[in-house]
Amino acid sequence: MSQMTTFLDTFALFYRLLLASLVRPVGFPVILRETARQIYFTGVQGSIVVGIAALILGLLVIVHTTPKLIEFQGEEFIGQLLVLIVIREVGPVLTAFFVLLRSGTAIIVEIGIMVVNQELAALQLMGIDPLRFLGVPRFWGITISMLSLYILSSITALLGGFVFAQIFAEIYWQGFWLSLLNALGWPDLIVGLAKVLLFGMMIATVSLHYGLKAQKHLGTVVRQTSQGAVLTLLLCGAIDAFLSTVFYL
Amino acid sequence: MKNHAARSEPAILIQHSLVLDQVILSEHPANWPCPLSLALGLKEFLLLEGLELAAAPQLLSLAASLQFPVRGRVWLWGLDIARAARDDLYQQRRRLAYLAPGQVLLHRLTLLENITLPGRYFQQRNMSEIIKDNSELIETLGLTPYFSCYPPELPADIYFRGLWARAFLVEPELILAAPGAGPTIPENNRLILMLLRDYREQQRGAVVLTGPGLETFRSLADRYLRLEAGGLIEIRVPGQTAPPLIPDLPLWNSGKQR
Repeated sequence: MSQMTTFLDTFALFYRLLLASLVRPVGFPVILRETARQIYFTGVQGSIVVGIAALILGLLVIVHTTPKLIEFQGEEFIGQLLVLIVIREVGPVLTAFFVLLRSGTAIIVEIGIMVVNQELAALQLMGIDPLRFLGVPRFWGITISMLSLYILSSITALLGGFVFAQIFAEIYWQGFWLSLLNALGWPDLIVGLAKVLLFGMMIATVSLHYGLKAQKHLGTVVRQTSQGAVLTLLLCGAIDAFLSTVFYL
Repeated sequence: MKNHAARSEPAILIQHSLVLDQVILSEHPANWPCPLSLALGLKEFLLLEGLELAAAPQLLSLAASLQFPVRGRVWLWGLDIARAARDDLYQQRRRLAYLAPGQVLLHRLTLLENITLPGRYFQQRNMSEIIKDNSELIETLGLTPYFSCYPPELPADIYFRGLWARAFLVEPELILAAPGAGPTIPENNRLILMLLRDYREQQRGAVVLTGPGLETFRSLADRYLRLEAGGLIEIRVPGQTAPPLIPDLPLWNSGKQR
């Protein structure tokens, strides 16, 4: 029953965040600055880690698949593999994983500590809606960062794949890019983008929800952080499975 | 101080009254009159003395929340406002200042960012503009050297003054405060007295001060109530005539009745 309530609360919060972003906007410059701060923390400072992880992903795809492709003389399928793994399936999940680890948990802790320190109550008594002042910038900051990190990670993984294909498999640049461009279609890009957008919104909403659930002492923040991270992972997995299934059907 | 004459023009005159009706605190002190029925008039300065330091902020935060407590009712500007939608409720809250231990500065913002936050958020003004317009207040409170400090780095009395500065910069129409809740040094009380005197002279709004001892502020009070033996006793301040109390004024905003 309590899990059901959590799901309903999370969706209610998602709806309120969307509403707060669009209806009767107040304090736009302050919110914009907070959003920029969130994008800097998640999208800019997190880009190096995501970039390295994507490069490793490109390497792994090439190292594990090219020997078999060469064995069956199917080098032209390297592009299809990279599109399937990097653009459509693993790329969005990898980005979401790092954003959750780096920023989702940070949001739960930050908001949780603010609740414990009564800073949220102070905001409310000043007439500032915490959802608008704290929630909206994090929601859009995470979503925009997810999108840009996904684009960055895709490009890095494809470039990494190309470099390692030269080294390990002797698949030269013309064949590699031809295979890749032939395999890449609009549906792949749309599915990938839809996934990262939903992952971003989900990470931000669940993190805010668990941060706001913290109570009088810091012990609750620890519990909320671990529960929030696990639930976000599960929800991201569910969204991924749903969208992939819809795509294949 | 800033000239607030424009605020008293009939077109933008905002009348209000606070009605604390049958408020029962969750951990009420022994001498708490259950239930308490109390009304505050327009631009009235009310001292409510004798309430323990733990209970005073509870009463004020209940009033500042503008929401129905679990038991009892708090009405501000009439029942319609208490029933208002989320955004309207926040709009009403912007018009009051709440100063008690429950109020804190935001830890992730500097003192300057903290005290200018409401101005930046509601009026979309920049920090230097806000500080320039209120330079006298800032100077009086001696906050300038601490502008770049974060709240945990501030001395207790500066932190307390930061809260008052933030409250006054929003130009509130109702101040709910427990002055004894801050570091009780004479300098702080002297500064608060000065600010409140100025606030009263300019007739900018109503004030409710509560706490164990409020002798310092007696000279400013329109009404002085003391909580004793389960009841509120009105004490007359020598040489002061209380204005007629208007118990429940309708809210008028920009000439339009709600």
